[in-house]
Amino acid sequence: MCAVDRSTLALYGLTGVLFALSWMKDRTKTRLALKKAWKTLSGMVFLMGSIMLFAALGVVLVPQEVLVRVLGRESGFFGAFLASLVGAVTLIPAFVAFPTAKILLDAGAGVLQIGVFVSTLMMVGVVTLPLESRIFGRKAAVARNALAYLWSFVAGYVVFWAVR
Amino acid sequence: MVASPVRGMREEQRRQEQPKQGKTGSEWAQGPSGNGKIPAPGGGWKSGLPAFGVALALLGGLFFLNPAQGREVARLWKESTYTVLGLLPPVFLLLGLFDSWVSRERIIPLLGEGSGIRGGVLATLLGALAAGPLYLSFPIAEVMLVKGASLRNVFVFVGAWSTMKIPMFLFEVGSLGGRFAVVRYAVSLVGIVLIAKGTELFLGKEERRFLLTRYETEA
Repeated sequence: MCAVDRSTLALYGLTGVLFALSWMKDRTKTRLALKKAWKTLSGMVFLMGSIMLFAALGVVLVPQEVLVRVLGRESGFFGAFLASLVGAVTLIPAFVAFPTAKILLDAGAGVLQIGVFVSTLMMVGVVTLPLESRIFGRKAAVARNALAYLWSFVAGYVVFWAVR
Repeated sequence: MVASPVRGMREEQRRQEQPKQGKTGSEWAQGPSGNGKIPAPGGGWKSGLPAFGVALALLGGLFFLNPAQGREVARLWKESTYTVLGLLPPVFLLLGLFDSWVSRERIIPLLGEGSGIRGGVLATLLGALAAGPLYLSFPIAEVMLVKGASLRNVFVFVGAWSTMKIPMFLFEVGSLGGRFAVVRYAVSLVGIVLIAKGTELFLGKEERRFLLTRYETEA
């Protein structure tokens, strides 16, 4: 957690320095930048808040034992399919997801299923679809997510084949 | 009502500056939302309220059914909110700076329609070098579109951000093993290019043009 704090601090430092430089060079542009930042930030606060709440609900409501049972080595395509659903709808940060995936693998989950799970988890975001639609439009956002969903199976099978 | 001369001058300066800036993504929030097919990006702070309400209702329901789990969700929520709240302001401030200092003319040759493979590589690198959750990439993608990046490159950027971030990759190597991570990374690289192309094709000419012109400068 300390590393996260340090990089966040660095980010603030960088922002501060750049703003100071910008302010010295051109106050109007700097003010414009502040205004833009505020507008985008305020437009996203509640959406971000709800996304994080959905993520927390997902993490708590889908217990690990259930995941292991569903994602077992023998579960085949059906297991991979269920893994993809869980991965697509949940939103777990990487520093939770990878250790969890490792635990699941050690507990008897299959490589194919975990590969599909990790890939959908990262590339597909059902919960963030409204946010994505605001920028790309619904059609593009749905297309990108659908294609990423399908590709996750390719990734899962290739990883399964390679790691075996 | 005597306006100070200094202020008057700044006002004048601003008026001269603004047409050059063109319309930015966030300013579209107030303007007409194109042909109505796509909601205006940005939106007011109220636009997230329905989702927030649903999420809160779910949390309330969980508290009612299972207080222990409800508390756990609330704790996780608080934690992740702190993390993101720490991250959001600098990211958006930097985006604001980028938006007001870097012109479309600078970005178009790098990431625009004619940028070719180099543009694709740059978009991939930008996404891979990023840090933070996927939804942070969307406002950045918006600014890229405002600055004239091609749709395909923006999709490549979002794709790379989603699954090719270097810090995340290192973490994946550490937890799931080098072989697993490297193979998945390679397959993902092919994937994000195909997905970007596919998404672009799926959109068709009409929508592609709409998405791009929505952000174009009017000056």
